[in-house]
Amino acid sequence: MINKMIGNKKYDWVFQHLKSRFMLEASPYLWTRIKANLESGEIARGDRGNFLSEGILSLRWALPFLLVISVSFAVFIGVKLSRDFDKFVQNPDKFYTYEVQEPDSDFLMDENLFNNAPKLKPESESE
Amino acid sequence: MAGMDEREIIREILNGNLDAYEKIVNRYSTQITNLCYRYLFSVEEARDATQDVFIKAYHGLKNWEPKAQFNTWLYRIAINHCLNLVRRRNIIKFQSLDNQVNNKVLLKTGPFTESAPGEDKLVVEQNEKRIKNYINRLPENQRHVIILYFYQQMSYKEIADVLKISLSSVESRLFRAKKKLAKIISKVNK
Repeated sequence: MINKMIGNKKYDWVFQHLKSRFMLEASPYLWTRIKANLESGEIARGDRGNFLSEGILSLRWALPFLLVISVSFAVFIGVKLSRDFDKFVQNPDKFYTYEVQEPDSDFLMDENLFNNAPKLKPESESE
Repeated sequence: MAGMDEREIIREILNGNLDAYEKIVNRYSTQITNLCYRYLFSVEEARDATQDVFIKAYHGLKNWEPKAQFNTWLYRIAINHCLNLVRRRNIIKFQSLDNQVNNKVLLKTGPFTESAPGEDKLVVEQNEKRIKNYINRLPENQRHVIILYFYQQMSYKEIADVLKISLSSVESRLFRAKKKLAKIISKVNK
């Protein structure tokens, strides 16, 4: 079928055209344009690279400090939690109760203060 | 020998010698421009696409495996780039109605009997447009084979390398593409 069609004048031009060596010339300034593009890209990448390297350098100094701070915070939280857990294991009932401490001063306990205070008269009497 | 030469050039480029890339560009610019033209059917777009292909290839040189042929690798980049452009173009659908009408008229007028390529510029141009319409009607995988085999005059082996398919697949695709092309032509010229 194909051979018939290829031999047929009706289709010959298509396959002749396909086989023709029509060559389109590349742009005369192709290399200049490519080079300009690549060089500008490299400059941009260079700038980006500078920013990156500065960033990495500052991170190199900051990272140990950040690491120490985060590790010490983690240790603090860990110790606190373990202590609370020990308390809970030792006495689970007492764990949730609040211990009310006796006040240090005996201000309220001083009876003389109550006795010496001026006595209030009932409202009906004052009228 | 040519392969060895290319490897040396690429090694130089990777070592930071940008000017060495000019040799690669000069060697393949015409082939890549023509390949792009067969997908885009616009001289300006093909030339712009060629530039983009070489820039992409430069940035991807690190990923090129010396085992593979450089030209097949470059062709693959070009085909993928052109397909992306065609797909984007299809999404935008910038083709005007007038263009579509003209294409229909061209499709219906049929081939000229005296259409020997190179004889008459107008005839060649019209044939070119008609061929564009025929080729665009082919399924994508058959279109690749037709373009690479006829226009780029590549061997079955080279086509298989570029498209990463087996030799038998190339043969069968080419056979089906020719058959389909003949069908399209006869259908249009009825």
